[in-house]
Amino acid sequence: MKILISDPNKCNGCRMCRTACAIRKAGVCNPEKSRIQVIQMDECDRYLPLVCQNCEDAPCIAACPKEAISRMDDPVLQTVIDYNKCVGCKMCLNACSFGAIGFDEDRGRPFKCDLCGGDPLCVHFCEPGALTLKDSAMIQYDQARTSALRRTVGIRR
Amino acid sequence: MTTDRRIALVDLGRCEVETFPVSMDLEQRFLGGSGIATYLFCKHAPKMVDPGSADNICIVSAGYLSGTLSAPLGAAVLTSKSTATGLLARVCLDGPFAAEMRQAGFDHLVLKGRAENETCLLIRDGRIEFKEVHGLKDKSLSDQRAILREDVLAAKNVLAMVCSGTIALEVKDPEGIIAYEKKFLETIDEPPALNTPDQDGQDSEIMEGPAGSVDPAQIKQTLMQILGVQRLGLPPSGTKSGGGGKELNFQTAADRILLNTGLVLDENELKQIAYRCIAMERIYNIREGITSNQGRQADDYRENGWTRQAVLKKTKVFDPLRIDDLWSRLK
Repeated sequence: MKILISDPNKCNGCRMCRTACAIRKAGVCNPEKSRIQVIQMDECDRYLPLVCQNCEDAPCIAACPKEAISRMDDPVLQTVIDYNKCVGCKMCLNACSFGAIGFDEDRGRPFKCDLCGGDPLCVHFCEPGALTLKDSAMIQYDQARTSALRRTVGIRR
Repeated sequence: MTTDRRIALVDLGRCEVETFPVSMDLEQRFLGGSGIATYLFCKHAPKMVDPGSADNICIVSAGYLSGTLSAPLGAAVLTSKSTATGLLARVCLDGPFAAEMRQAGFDHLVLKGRAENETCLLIRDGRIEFKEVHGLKDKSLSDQRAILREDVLAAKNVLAMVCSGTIALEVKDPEGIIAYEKKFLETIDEPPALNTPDQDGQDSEIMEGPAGSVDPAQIKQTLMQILGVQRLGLPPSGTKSGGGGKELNFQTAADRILLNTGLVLDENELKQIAYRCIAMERIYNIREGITSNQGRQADDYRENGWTRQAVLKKTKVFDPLRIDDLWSRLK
């Protein structure tokens, strides 16, 4: 299973990902139409890019009265919106814990990140390397390794 | 013909806003950012105005490419007459302000007069609201930041400008710019593309124009301010400032303008636009009376042939620079 990971310690808030996403998906530079949002956190002086997390027990699926959102057995396309069933009631926007679902007012339909079919454009445009597409099995290993490295720095000294 | 970019004339004293679009002619002559800002300043600033008074005007403009994929944050330029030198002065504002300002619907804000009370300008989706603010204690950190960033506006009694917007900025060639910038980022670790050798030869020389000569470094800097690619919040390597390290690559700039806006410009035209912008600034400064006690700046003007006698000629200077409509304002 592929997961888009964002590292707030690397993100410099350049919004390249957001702009690229909006251009690819909507053809215009409009942050409202971007599938990725960069949250500026003044409290700790960090930025955090947020996308659909493809929750296992997704609130958006539970909230949809038309059963238009469903989970697929696919490593990339996990949670998908069926636009034939969607009526644009915006319940999913309300339900999403991350604010990762946006609403296209021109089309009257919600939208969310689809990982660009497995090759997310935002990852290519993230110059500091804050965004990475990882296999879920690798995340645990990478985190453990980073943590181990931090501890060994002290030992080497 | 007009473009979808808009200028707002904000009268702070009377709380009135007048908006009009940037004409195609203006865009072709000055692009945007500090280019149009300097033109607007020369056009609207009263003669021999006291810089600390309410009659002085202040222009905030977003760079030409701000908010596009080439400069997702962009840079805004604040233009006014300086209280310190009495000459035209510019301040560059980094951060997302420029992009948000464009998405809020305005490329240039001309602030006139002085607000009666401490005021905050709220700009959202093409509307400008005047909001009185009393005390700053109950403001959130982000608001205070905005205030600090804008504290040069003290003489106007404007404490903060808040922009946010959802207006879509049209892109001429979406897939084209994605491919271009992607390729650009992939080669970011390679040595930066320099301006081609024969241009570099020219670069070391001083650029001559109808009004006088200008240092090539200043041409590049002005062009960065016009395009809003000053700094992009990226590491100090500055790789995004136009292709060649901190240097601006004219070809890269021209390609980006073409892909983002569809305006076809070549290197010489870009240099001409920057020269025009510098010329307007210098003519304004000469009109306002640049004196020897302004130090190096005045020396620079004299050495490069910028004198009152040389520049204040309509047919020789203003007509070739295509700024003849400013003649009545600057003579």
